[in-house]
Amino acid sequence: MSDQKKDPVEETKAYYCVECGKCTGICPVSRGTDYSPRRMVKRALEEPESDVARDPQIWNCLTCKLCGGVCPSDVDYIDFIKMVRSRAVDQGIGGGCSQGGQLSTMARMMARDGLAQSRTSWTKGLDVAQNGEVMYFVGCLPYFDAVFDELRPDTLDIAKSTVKVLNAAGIRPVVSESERCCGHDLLWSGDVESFRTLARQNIKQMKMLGVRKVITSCAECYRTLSRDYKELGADIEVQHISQAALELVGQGRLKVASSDRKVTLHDACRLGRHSGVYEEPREVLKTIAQLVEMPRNRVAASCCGVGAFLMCGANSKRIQLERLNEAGGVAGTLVTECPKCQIHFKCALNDKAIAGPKPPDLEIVDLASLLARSLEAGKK
Amino acid sequence: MAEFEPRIVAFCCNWCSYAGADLTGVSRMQYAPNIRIIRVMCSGRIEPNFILRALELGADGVLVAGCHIGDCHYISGNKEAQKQIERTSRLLEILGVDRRRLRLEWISASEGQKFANTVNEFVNDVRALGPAGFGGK
Amino acid sequence: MKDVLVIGGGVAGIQAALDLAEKGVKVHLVERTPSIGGRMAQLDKTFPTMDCSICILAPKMADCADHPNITVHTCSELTALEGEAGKFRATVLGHARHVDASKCTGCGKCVEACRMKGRIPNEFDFGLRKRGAIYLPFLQAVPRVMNIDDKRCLLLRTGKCGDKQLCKEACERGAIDFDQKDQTVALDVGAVVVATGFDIFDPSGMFEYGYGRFANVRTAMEYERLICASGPTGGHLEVEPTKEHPRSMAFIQCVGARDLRRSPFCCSVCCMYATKEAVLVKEHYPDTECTIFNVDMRALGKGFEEFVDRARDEYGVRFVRARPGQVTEDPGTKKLTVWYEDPELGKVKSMPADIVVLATALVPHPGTAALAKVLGIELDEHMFFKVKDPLMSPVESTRPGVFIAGYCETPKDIPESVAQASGAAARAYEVLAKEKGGAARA
Repeated sequence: MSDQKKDPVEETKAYYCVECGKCTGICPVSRGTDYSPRRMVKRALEEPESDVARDPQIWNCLTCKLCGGVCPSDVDYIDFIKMVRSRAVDQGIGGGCSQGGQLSTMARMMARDGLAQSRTSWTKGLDVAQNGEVMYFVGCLPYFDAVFDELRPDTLDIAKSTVKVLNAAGIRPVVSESERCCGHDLLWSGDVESFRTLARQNIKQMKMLGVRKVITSCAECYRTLSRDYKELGADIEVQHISQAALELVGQGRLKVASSDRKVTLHDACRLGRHSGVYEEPREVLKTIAQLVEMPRNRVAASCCGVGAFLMCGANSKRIQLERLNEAGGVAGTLVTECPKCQIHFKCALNDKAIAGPKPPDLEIVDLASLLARSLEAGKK
Repeated sequence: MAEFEPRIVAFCCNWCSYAGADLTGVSRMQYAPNIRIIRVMCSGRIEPNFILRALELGADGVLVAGCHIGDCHYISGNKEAQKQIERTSRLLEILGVDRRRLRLEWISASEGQKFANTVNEFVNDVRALGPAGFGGK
Repeated sequence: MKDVLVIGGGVAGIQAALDLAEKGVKVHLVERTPSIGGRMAQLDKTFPTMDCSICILAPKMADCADHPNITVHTCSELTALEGEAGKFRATVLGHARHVDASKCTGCGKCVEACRMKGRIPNEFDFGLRKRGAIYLPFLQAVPRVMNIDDKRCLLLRTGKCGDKQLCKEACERGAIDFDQKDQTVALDVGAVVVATGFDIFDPSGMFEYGYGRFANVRTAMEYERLICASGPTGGHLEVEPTKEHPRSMAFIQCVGARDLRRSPFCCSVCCMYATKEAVLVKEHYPDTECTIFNVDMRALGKGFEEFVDRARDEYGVRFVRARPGQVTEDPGTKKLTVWYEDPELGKVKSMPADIVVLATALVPHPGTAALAKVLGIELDEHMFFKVKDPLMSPVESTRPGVFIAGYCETPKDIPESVAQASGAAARAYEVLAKEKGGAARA
């Protein structure tokens, strides 16, 4: 049940909109469809009876926040869309979760009390703890590994790599069997109630285990834990693995080997524009490879084409293809900071049905995996 | 105290297993009433979300029945079903749901007895496992 | 009668100085840069009359230099203002220009000889032209005395300029003086007029427009220098890298202005100057498509709306009510594409443009807060000088005896700045008159 008192227009100050259309001008979804963020806001402002929550196009938004980067009236459009979606869900309307909806179903199922997951078998051979002050929040990496097996995104390699890196710095992170999905996708698809249930369970778990600091390898978990969980009373410090690794390298607790390999970095929307973290991933990447920037980087970075696993379609593929070619134009390796970006890019790279040239030799690898590999190299 | 009666959802393919279930009925063979049959054109149509949603909505077990390998009306649909069921089983395992709550069976149109046996066996198995516990919404 | 101090040598300061001088008042015109003239000197033509800007300003600049009642202090700034209305003591610091103004004839031989010639981006043309370490800011500079940029001059910076100083050698009058020191003068003045103008917002931080990354994206003031016949390209607009003239141009309004995250206010002049700039393009290249992307068209003055109509109907300038969301560049051809939402269709459209001109916000100078402190006057929340009563007393600052004129008070165009300058001059004269006959009135 969304908070009926919170009006999307009031909360996001959408009434400041001057209808200039800058948002539509930069929106990646608008480029391929007739979607117009400006029209959405205009409709909410001028035709409240028509109920913009019933507009099927509210599900098209990637929530990438490129619009927020340029709006002269500082309208928080993605928050506006989030709140409108929750009103839609209250009316029984839902968006098109890709992969047949299984990911949101799984997230909702995870909200059950008394669930006994079996999600830590990948930690074999690694040094993890049952409780402690520092937790590695794994997110849905074990599930992605099963769902996307054909893409071989190797999301569990991201998890293993993260722990390896932390172990190498002498940290024994807590990895919990009772960890649940952070709820990011449910929150952004308008299912606020399920999100809150998941969040409360995770927060309770963390308190019980004595966790004070959470490290995550997923940009979406990062944003959700550091912002949305704070609003629900979580009292934790949150770091993305790139930030943690940079800190540890700076303190001399982590030794990595540099390499000549040319790489480029894709800024994840949730780490970049949502959370303002641009430089730390770059600084740590520079210690292990030669970083070359794509033309659209940092606040100008393109989205990976899909937000919250909603509405993946031809336009998403177009966005992904554009970005892959942009990456291929500057380096042979594309580094991602979020497992979902990696999944989406690999899906596009391997998709035989999309028209258009793809960079054939582009390697897509996560920042955590690259860090772990550089540890090995350092040992040799 | 009422004993737990599991609720089972069975996805049956049109060409083989649904016809097989029909034969069971016509032959007046008894099988457990806990089952709700949903006809699909091919077992290959079954995707993970169907199974997950069934469980989320309160099912305690899901049975998927299709043609024998080599007999699929759409040639390779049942092979697809095999893949999807395997994938779903892995998901359920991580989720902490007992794999035995999901069962894949090849039942041809003439195997009315097999259908009845499969259902009865499956219902017993799931009864022993207890409620899946997702409550339903 | 006491003197008056005028701070700022732009058109407003010049007008105030001339008005007062004509009334018999001695005026000290203090200007931070090496020449008076200000922004108006940098424009090509003025709206709506399409007068050549420097042509109508230069005579006034010359009048200031020649007028027996005006002392022009360039390279100077105010460092203290003590006292009260009618009895101020102003301390003005004059930075050494290392050229003796009494000897320099402005012949320019030193400029030709300078070892650093052609190496330093010049301020007047926004870096579009290069100068040397010794230079004249622009052709019509007043005073016509050379300057040495002591941060770039090899001798002043490193102690050594080759084996000899070429400028000193070239000068036939011995006007170059490397030992010249900064000088502080104390001035007794009865009133002060502040006319410090504005600074140009730097749009490099707005990633969506590509300024600073894309060669063919310019600010409006840069465009003024490019289209001006005495500018770096002789008045020719050149598309990089081919140097051909543009076939299509886009003017994007309100860049950094009417923007809640940067300057929320409207700069008042951009709608008109963009129209003027588009008309100039059409006059130079009649076949070039010109499109102005704006939200409103603020054409409030006399003849302004008619000017806009002429631009649209006679010259064929297109006006599109949209703020472009992005400017992209083709990495090969360097041609630009402007992405905007068609206001009628509600769909994204793209328009090719050879050159994009950004009407950047015109904002208070960064040094305004410090100057306000020295002057003892207040600023408003946007860092403009606050007037005592915005309705009935729009030239008085919050300190008696200190008056404000021009853009530094609030955005306005040239006629408004000139009018306000005359108003400030009159009010300043009032202070002097009262002071002169003050004893009798008390």
